[in-house]
Amino acid sequence: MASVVASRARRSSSVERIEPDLTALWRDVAHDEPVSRAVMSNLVVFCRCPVDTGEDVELPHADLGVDEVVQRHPARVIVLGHDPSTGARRDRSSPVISASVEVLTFGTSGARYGVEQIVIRSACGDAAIRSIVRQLTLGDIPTTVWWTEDLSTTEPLTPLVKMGRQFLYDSRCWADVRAATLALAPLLTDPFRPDLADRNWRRLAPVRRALHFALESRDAAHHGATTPLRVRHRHGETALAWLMAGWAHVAEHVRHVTDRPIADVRLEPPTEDTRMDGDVLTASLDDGFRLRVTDDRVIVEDPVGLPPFAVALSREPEADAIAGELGVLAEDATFHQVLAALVGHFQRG
Amino acid sequence: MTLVIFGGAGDLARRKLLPALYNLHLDGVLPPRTAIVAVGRASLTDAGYRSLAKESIAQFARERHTGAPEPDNDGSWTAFAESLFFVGGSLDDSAAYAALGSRLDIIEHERGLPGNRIYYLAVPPSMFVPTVEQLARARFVGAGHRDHSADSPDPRHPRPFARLIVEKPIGRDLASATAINDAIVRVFDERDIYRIDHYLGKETVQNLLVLRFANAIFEPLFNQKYVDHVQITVAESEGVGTRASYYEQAGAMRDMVQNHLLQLLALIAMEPPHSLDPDVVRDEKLEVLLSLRPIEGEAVDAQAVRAQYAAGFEFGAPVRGYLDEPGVAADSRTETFVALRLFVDNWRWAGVPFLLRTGKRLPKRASEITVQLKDVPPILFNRDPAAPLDANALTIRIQPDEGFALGISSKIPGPRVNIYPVKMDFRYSSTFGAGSPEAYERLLLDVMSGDPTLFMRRDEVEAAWRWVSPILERWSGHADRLPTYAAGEWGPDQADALLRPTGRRWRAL
Repeated sequence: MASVVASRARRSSSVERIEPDLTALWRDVAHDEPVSRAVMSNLVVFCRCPVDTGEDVELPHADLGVDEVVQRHPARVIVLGHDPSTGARRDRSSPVISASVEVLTFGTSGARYGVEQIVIRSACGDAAIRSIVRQLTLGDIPTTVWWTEDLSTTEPLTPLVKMGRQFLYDSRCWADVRAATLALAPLLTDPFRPDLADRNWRRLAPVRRALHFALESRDAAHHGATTPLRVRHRHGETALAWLMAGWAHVAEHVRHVTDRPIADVRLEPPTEDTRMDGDVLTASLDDGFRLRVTDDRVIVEDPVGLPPFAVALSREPEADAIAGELGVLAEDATFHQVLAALVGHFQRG
Repeated sequence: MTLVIFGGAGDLARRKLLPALYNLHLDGVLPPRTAIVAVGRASLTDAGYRSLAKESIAQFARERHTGAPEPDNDGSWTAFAESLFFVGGSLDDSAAYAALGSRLDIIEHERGLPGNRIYYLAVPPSMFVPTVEQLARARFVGAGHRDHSADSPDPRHPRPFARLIVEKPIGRDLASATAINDAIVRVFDERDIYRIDHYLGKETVQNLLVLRFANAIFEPLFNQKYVDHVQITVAESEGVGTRASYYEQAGAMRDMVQNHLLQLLALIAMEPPHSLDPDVVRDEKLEVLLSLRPIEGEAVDAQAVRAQYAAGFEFGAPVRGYLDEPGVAADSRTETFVALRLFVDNWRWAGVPFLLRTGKRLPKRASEITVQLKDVPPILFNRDPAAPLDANALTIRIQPDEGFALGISSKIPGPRVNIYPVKMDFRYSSTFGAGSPEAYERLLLDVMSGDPTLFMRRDEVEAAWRWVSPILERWSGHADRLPTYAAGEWGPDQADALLRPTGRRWRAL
């Protein structure tokens, strides 16, 4: 894909020189023609980076599409390469292995805007990492911590995460849904928790709307028996399936379509199915209701409700999805309830 | 004009005064033939002092000028160096003043100067009174100098002036401040005394009055009807460093709150002055200080928090706690952090909390004032109590990145009504280009031109001491260890607890 960045000015820096170096970069970038400094938020991009790799190792933020994200949601980007394991860096003299600053510009003459990016590879312990980030964030705008790692293998550094107003991650990369969900548990009970945003949860939005619409349209007479919503999924979609199961468990607007519940209140663990014929996920009731999610649509078949119908799934570019999440700071109460339900389920064993 | 700097080879002179004077020289605003005479205990010749000044300027001058001392292609440095002189001697030795007087006479004669002098006390506070008394004894001030009580007999040939610059802190409590003020007003007229609080020389602080009284948009909102609270933070990332001997006697309340923070508070809360006459502006500031609701007795425990920094981190590197700093007593109870919840009991600000916070070893060096407006009603876009809109806030950044920002709510472009807090941001650096002058440049120039607007008057200083004294007294009566906060954090939990019952939170800077 062609780069969206019109120009890129970068220089190596040091922890003490980051702000002056950024100021100098902005001056250079604006030398020939004006450029607006655009910033809606601080975006702290956390990447795991072993401390014993070479000093010139590149952090993976370019592969994550950070450029495209900040084109849509201008932010002061702080890419933080850190090794959460302890011990290895004790003998290092400097808490930072390398630092650089960059100004990216977008747009054309007359409508040029730029964002600033700071890339830091830390060599310090977990307890010290917050002191680095705090020096770099701007105070009067929201801060999002974007955790690019698998939470089941790289648990969130709570002090760092709590610095943010929003904690963004993607459960699609979770190898172990149980471990990752439990890693989020401390954040759910904290009264000053950040708003949690899961890129994967966003995928469920049209699915939830279709399911809600279908069940809401059922004749109340068909809600006689309580029955669990059974979720099956293809390989690699475990997290999405659990989110679906959790939502069905907590979604008041589904359970209260009539005065009798249409689904069992028990949280029914999803099942991985190797014979999904291209479906990403299915959800079914014992009475024949079936919802199928493919890569491009949601298909609902309900023998006792509406005639079969399908809803197209738009293929939202990754950067649009991330930028969309960054733009919503209000807590998604339903999502928090789903996570709490899943945490409760996993804690019970 | 002759500037005599007592402590002219000391830290303040090297870091601030000499670079500021050099910048003024480069800007061409120093009065012609100005002589700068440093006085100190060091054994330096004029040449030696000029070398020291050159090193200091190269190290500490801001990056605004191309006329750095080296390589001195345009001769700027050479011209400046020729105005520098050094006189050695002990400040409590009357013979040193006799020698100084002789040297000043020669220098002024050689440079054709009329004898206008500014005496800068860049010395420890304990030396203020002895130095001023020696100046009087050696007849540096008085006979032959301008007397404000009687105009010069011939306005065409005014008598030379003698002005005094005093650095804060002036005293360590009301009694000692009064004693110092009494001593110096016996020698200098109040109108010739310039009590420096360098914060008042910062561009953004000067712009506070412009912001408030040269714009129609803000002033109508600056009152208890629209303002939820005001926060003033002066944060330092550094520890006590080499200043332990001074800081142990002072602490954050005396070092920062009594002067910088209360001065900022006075500027943000004052009524519009009827003119920009220095005394009219200072009268209005004084009114604010006199309107501060006293915090006394048990109220101190409820409205004031003090703490000491413990070991922690600065930019990832471990740093020691205050008690482990060189020169700090192992059982020191000197506070390095203060947070206050206070009220200005006047018609404009009745019931509006002013939240003040300052400390060392906080996460970053930053000073700002934030005026947070009240929430919009919980209807329309602010209906969801789980996701309240951010309140509008006017943030005035004093350092670094001087400027101000107005936080507003805006709809993100798109089909949905998604509201996001955005800011309208004004930055001096990006709007006006070249860096702002250093505070000392402005202040030194004001003293030279005889404008005391940005300096603290005696009654302001004493009103501030009068207000902080009950808090200091209450604290001095407590023998408990102070609460601590890890270096690199925004203060102790108690500071958060100070605000928690009100539902407010300290802003992250």
